[in-house]
Amino acid sequence: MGAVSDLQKAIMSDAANIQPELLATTVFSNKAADPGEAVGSVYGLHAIADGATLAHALDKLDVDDPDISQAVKAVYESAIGDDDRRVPSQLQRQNARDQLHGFHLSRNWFRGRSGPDQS
Amino acid sequence: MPKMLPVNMSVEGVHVAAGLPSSHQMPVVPSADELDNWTQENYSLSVSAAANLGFPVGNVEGSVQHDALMFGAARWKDVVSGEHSYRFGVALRALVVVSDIKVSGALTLQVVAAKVELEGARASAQLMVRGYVGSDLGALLPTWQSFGVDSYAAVHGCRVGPAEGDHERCRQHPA
Repeated sequence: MGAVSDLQKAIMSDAANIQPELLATTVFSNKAADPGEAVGSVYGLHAIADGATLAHALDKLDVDDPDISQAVKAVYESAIGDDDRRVPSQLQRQNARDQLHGFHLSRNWFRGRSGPDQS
Repeated sequence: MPKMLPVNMSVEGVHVAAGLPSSHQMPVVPSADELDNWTQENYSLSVSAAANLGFPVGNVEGSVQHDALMFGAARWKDVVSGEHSYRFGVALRALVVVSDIKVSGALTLQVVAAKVELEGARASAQLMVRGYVGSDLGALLPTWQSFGVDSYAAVHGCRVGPAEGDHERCRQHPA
């Protein structure tokens, strides 16, 4: 196995074959999360953690802000897929809990008669 | 002051990922001769952050805590364009993805290598070359994927092989 330092030496000293590419940027550090996206992401994760379907989560959302609902849909699509009636699996629920790092909504939105999760 | 974050994508890709308009001002890429800074890079990121920045972290289990350590050497020049800075250059980077390693202090390569060997922790590593178009690197590329003491030794310029001299070199020149 060749040592990485040999590789480094070969690359850095071969000026003829260096074609500079982007290595780092400040672009991302300037981008603050849109409040609607942030709220929607937390809401979506909380809904998944509680076992709600996307349809149920959107029904319970009761907020007329497209940024929030879009963020909820994006979280579900990323974690579960695009079926708005699919119930999150135990693993998906656990993943969502992990991503929330202990944060949770103050009301128990997703449990009750119309919710899929009675456990 | 805005933080310089490592990326593994083009300027166009960065602008798209950041939601900037396609008409956003593009930086002028410097030539190889203009790369007048040399540094050792060292970043610690969550795996999700690394993925968002374009690094190939693969499929990782969501129920386990993952971290990504990225380190390497780079020759570069910063270009200011509009309100942003862009670092262009050539880099050799190693990306180590670590699964479920709990440490009380900073997560370093030494700690990762030791945890893998002694406690059965899992870590995978890959090398990435950016900004280099030569075609003769194949023979020099290490083949390792799992990260342990052997990989750590390779990264730091010594080999763990059958020759006594190799072992001696590692002992005499620890990282």
